[in-house]
Amino acid sequence: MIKKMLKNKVFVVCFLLFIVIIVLSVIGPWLAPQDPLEINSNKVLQPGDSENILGTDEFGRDIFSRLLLGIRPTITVALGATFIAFFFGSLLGMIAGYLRALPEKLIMRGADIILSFPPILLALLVVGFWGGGVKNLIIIIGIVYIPYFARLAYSSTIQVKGLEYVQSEILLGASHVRVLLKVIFPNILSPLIIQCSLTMAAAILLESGLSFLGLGIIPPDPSWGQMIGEARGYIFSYPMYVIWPSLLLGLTILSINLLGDSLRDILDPKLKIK
Amino acid sequence: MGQDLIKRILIIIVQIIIVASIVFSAIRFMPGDPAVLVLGTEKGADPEAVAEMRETLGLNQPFFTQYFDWMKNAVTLDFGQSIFTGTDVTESIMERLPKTLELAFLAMLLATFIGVPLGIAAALKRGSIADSIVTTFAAVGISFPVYIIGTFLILLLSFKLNLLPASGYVSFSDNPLEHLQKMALPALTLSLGLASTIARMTRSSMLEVLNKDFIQTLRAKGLNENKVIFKHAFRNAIISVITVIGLELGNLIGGTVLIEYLFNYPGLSSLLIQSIDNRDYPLIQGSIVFIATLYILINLFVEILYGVMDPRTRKQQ
Amino acid sequence: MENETILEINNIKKHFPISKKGLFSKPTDYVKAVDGINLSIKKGETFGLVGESGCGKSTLSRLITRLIEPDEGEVIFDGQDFLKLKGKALRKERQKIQMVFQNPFESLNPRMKIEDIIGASFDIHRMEKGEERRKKVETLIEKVGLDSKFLSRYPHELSGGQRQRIGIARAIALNPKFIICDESVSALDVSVQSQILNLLNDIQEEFNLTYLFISHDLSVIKNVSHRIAVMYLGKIVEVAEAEELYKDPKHPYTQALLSSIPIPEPDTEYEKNPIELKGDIPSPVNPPKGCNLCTRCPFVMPICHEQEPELDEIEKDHNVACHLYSTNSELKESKVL
Repeated sequence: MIKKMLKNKVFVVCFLLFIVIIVLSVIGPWLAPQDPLEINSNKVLQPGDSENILGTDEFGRDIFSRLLLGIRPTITVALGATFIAFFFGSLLGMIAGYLRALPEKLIMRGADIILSFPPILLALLVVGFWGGGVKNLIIIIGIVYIPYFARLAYSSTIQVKGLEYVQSEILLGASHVRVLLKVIFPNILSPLIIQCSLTMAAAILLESGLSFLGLGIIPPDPSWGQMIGEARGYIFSYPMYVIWPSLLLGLTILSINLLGDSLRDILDPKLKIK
Repeated sequence: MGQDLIKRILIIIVQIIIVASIVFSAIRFMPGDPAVLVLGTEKGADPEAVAEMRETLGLNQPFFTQYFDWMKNAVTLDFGQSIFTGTDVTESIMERLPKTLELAFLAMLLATFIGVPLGIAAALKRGSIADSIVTTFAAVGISFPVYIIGTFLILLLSFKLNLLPASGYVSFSDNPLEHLQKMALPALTLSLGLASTIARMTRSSMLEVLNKDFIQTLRAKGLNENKVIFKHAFRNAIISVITVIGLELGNLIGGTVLIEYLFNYPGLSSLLIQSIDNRDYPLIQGSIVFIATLYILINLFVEILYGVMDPRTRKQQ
Repeated sequence: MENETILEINNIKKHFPISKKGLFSKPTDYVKAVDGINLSIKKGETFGLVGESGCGKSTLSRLITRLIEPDEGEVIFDGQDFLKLKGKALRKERQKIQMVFQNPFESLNPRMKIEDIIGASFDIHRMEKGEERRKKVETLIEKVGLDSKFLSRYPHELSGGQRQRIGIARAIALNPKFIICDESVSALDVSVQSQILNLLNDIQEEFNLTYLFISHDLSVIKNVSHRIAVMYLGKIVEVAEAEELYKDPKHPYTQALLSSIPIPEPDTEYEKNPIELKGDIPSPVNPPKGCNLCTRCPFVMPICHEQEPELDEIEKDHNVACHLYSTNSELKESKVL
């Protein structure tokens, strides 16, 4: 397995990038050369110089430092939301696929209802009434993506459940919990892990979209989406202000998406699209 | 088909009721007092003003009384008045709705006119420029948010080349040319994601059809290659392309949220963002119910359309 | 062989609904996979169950083990109403009935080491742990003729025959009384088949086991079984001692099945005049009215379209469900064979 991973160049590159992003989200604030929140009315929207490498924003804050600080909320929300979606989605999907009957109806109809909202609309509904901020974003984005995991876990469980090794475990007298966690779960994990990386990318997209609308991460704390939203007003006077966070955000999502694709090639060769 | 249609419609009615219930309950389960939040810190300290606002929001009634009142009114499309401007919520929405629909419709047209030829070109010459455009397009389209793509388009087309205006709206009756000019960038930006999906779908379904026996037979019979491609192959590939367009139509409505904000386009979605900014709760509720219902209805419409179009699904039903 | 009954099945039925799309629609059609079966199996014997694929024999095995819940009927195992058990009691009792499955590539959990596959029973019932568990597992794998070096491997590193041995080791870990072999050797090469059959035989003697041996392969069934039941479209059509059944098959379906085996020197009646059935097996959704075989039987009579034949004992220990042998009617006169 590990040999296969090292052989896949896209995977290696994207995985390293992913590690860098995670590390930066942890230590980014300490690397910042300037105070990312310090307002300086003397140098508003300045191009880069020796002190502010990438220039300053409309409040005279150092863009480079804000970019470094802005990774953290984005990654926190993405990891948190993905975890919630993965945990509850897989659990509910497995229960629905394993027990069938009433739990299946309730869980899968519930998933359908969430899916009958466009994701951003559901997020706006919650943010509109509950407000933004990292905690709320984690919860709501997590809920938005629960149905995707639930459907995946559900269909995989139904497939695996009929297999003879699951039946033999039941015959030996195993409890439902053991059959679900020790037998079924390890065997449906691969597609769920692939879904995790795709969900992370989607969660970043959604979080940054809300922040772009000014409804996500609460200012003055920076996040990339929110910086793009603010820089939008200065697009003609200082275009580099909007370009930097846009490029970083796009490349981050791209690398996580490619990570997911290469993971799919490694874990599940059958799914590979010719 | 008839019986199934009735069932589908029943399910959709239940779905819309559930959506509306969730939207209604949202204000009741808010942390903090909505009335105080609407009034802001200064006025919110005045108990009289708060009591008045609670009355306006209907919060002084028991949950179910208000719920049934609200639902009853919602059926007649009455969502109350905007707290901020006092105008009728449905009226404001109806004024904005056609603009959003026009934007989405234009984007769909553009996406089809970009995506289909690109997909055909890519399928006919694998490894050609068109083919690599489709591939790159796909990766970028999935990873770069629409508003970033929009920003780059603004920088390129209005800032550098000065071709198109970057924001604003002029109604068609006032100035048809300017209207289209101002629509161009938002519609183009919104269309690119869908265009990339259409191009990929066209490419793969064309490739699939071109490998089928009946195409080989037509070629062997000496039929003109253009005729083979456009009259026979494309005709067979078009169903899956239309399917994709249908499936993505709903997402297009979701996409308008970010696009309208980026381009200051006065559609329904920007009304929603505005009302969230203003904590204009009746307006938020009304817009979300409208957009969600629109989304659900579009999906229903698309589903019915397949039933009519594709003989295979018709038989299944 | 003792004469005590270990398993008794009374009028067991399972009809699978053909689900329709949609939320409100109720299923209108059913696949009659198992349609009223009576059997009794004696302690210590190997009872063969033979039939073409799709006749419901695998479903029957899953009904007995309650991997699928029957619609109606009774399963009396070891004097106990097996279908009434619930929860913990069921989990405790069901370990007495084990299965050896058909597909050696699907029957072992690909994410577990062989040691944990065989040892699963001990984990489930919180029995032996650590060193003791290891020893027990080693004994078991040696019992099925494999080296204990396989214990640290994963299923995909083993051959089909080796995997089937692991499946047997897993099945006997909890000292069951009854083992269902559901097409246990049909996925294996012929040479490996006989090794596994011998192993099953040895184990039966050592542990005093009863087998229900399910197969579509008449020659395999003949070699292992004491008694044999023939199944067609969810019903038992004939039950007899193995030798008797092969020598003197009564039911036209059994005769047709046996005719399909090539024999070098035919000496019995039906061997000289092989019987062929017309057409294909009808769909189990709409089996014919009356006798299930009436659309294909060369000896079909008017009553076959009207009335379903009962499984009657027409000779000692030989039961047949066919109007040709009806004891209660004048039809007996028109017997063809």
